Amino acid sequence: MFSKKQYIYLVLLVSCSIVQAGCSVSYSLEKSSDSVSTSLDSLTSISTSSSGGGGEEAKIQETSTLYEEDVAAVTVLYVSREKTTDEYQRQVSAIARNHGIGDWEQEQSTFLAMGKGLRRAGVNENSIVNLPFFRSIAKSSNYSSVITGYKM
Amino acid sequence: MYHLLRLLLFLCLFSSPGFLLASELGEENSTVSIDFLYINANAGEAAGGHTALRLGDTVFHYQFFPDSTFLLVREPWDAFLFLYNELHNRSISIASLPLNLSVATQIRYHFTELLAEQDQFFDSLEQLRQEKRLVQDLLVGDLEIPVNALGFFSEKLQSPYLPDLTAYIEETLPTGFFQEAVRKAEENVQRAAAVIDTEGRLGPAFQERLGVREALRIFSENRGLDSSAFIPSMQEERRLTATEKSLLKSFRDSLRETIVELLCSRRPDRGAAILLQTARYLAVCHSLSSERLLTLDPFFEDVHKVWLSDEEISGGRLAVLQEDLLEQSATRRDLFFKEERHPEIAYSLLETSRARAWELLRVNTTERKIRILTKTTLPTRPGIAVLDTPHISQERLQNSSQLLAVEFEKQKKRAEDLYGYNLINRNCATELIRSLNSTFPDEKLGRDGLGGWMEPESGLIFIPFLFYEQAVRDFSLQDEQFIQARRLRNLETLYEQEDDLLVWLRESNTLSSTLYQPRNKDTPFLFFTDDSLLLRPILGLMNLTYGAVQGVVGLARVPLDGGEHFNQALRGIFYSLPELTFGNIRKGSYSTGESEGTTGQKITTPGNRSTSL
Repeated sequence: MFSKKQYIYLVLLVSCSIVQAGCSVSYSLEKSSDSVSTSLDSLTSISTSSSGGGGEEAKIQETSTLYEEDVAAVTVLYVSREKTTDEYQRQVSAIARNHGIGDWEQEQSTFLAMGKGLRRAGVNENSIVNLPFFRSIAKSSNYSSVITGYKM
Repeated sequence: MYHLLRLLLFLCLFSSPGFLLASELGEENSTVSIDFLYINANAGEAAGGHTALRLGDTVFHYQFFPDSTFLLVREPWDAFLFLYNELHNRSISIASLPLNLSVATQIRYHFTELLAEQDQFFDSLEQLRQEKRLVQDLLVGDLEIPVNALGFFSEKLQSPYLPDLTAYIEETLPTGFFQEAVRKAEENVQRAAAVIDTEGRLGPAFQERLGVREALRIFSENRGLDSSAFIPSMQEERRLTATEKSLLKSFRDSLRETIVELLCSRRPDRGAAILLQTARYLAVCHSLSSERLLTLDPFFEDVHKVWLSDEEISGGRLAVLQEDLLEQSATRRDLFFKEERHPEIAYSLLETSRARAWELLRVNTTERKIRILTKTTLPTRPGIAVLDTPHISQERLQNSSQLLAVEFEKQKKRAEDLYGYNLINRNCATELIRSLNSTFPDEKLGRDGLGGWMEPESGLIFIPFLFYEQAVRDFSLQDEQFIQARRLRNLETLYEQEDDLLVWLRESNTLSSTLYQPRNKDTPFLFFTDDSLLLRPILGLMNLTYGAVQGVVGLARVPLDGGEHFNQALRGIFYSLPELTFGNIRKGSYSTGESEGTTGQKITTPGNRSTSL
């Protein structure tokens, strides 16, 4: 039906169409030591996306907001996946690290976010203290922050 | 650059995070929208186009990583727009789905949970890899174990500032705290080692407890910071002012409190945190003493590195970027001294930006390598803790090593199953809709919440532009907007200012275009075909011929460049093929220094969105 030349042509066109369904390769380079970009482009977005005082000022608040969202998310997983207290604390540490926080126990927002996560996970307020990690902080002021977050 | 900043400011003003604000205000019944994005194709990384979901100022999308994983990624909208639309010159279509605030919030929370679950999986895989390596080292008698943040401390130098901190801790905590803590820490290391007898594995606790022990030793041995621990003061940075010194003293005192709290904490990984905060405390003391701002070096061992080309070093791009990063560092310094609510976040941002600026200032014709911190992260430089006794028998270690090898392979296989890429069944379109659907317990509730429903396996929705078209239909998406790719946007401006024919003749090809400079990454081509549908097959044929000619040249150059030119030519031919049948992938792309003055003002994005998320 097709000549050899036509067949090669068709195969190439079909290949192109299939490739067109492919997706984007990461530009963020966070997970790999090898990358798509091998030039100054890698730094461009870092410098430009937040240039200017307004952008930078917002960045602190944005980081804090994302941190709280992430702590709430990991708290939902703590409840639903029945993680151990140590695992949960390590996960909070990992999130804190990603957002530039070394000592998450000193951040009130950590405990507010935990409270929000507990509510989202459907934990009854009276049962919070039954969860091992929260039992361990039940007598501290951080627990009040958890409850405040729960009620927010 | 100025225009770009104006654009970003515009975006900040008009796309403020109303989503979160409304949520915090409890406006449960208000309507907001989530946006479906379609980003058209370009050569190189994204020949098939791309899809994403914008929730407020945040974009969630799936990306393929060079280690063959395919992962959910969260990015700020302005960074996403800059990369895809500005640098990669791709048009973005946006269609909004108005939703009840509670549904929109539920979706955002769900995507965040998916991200957290994914991160947990890879964190535990990394933990497993580290444990495997540790056991293998112990097996061959290597008793040197890496501990995070220990690397900032010198083996020899005594600290002039640590005795004050130690005295403060001893005054604040019960008498004999240090002696008791050191005894317990040593005991805990031995207990952690004994776990291998019962559980067959050391787990993360062993290294964590070693971290606590090492942190306490820093105090007892009065070890100072290593001279390489700092990002040194840069010529462009001013001396600390009196106000800054006063604020820095307050920050030093808050770090001191943090260290006391951490010493009493029961969190398992407190050792590394004590080491980091102590190193920061000492860095602040050094800053105060020298009246120059010094921060810890946050670069880590396997940080991403790039080697700059001659063109990048000698051209204006490097200077532009150096200036930008210095400016960013100065801004973050000012913000740190102003920040009251989140000083630690502000300090981490400052540490990162100083490191980036300093790294780029070191570049010259002999030093071409730069390390790139893609995101803000805590300094972690590992140091070596030496085990005094092996604690663990060879037999136990052997068993543990085998156990870990099996478990590691099992988890790697799981990673492939859970986070692998498949062109048809698991790509950016299918996973986006799968993730959206999994927000809801079932299809009925999903339809109620979203006003429609899409199945990831249905028809050809794995093709990004068909996915977008179907989403517009199935969800009755509204307010469709279009952000033109950078070259097309600037071309329109030229058409308004000059004679159409002249502009077309000049800008339609890569040789005379004033809006585009050929880049290797774009593959060799002569004509842009993204703005000329009818002529596309003819121009495509010329591009194909040009690619073939370049192929012949490349073949001749194989002995000189190892086939790089030839390979690029082949890719050029490949990207010309769709043009023969009225298709288009390649559009050209841009790089750093070219941002100046080319950002159009025609972007229709956020201003006309009914309710901005």
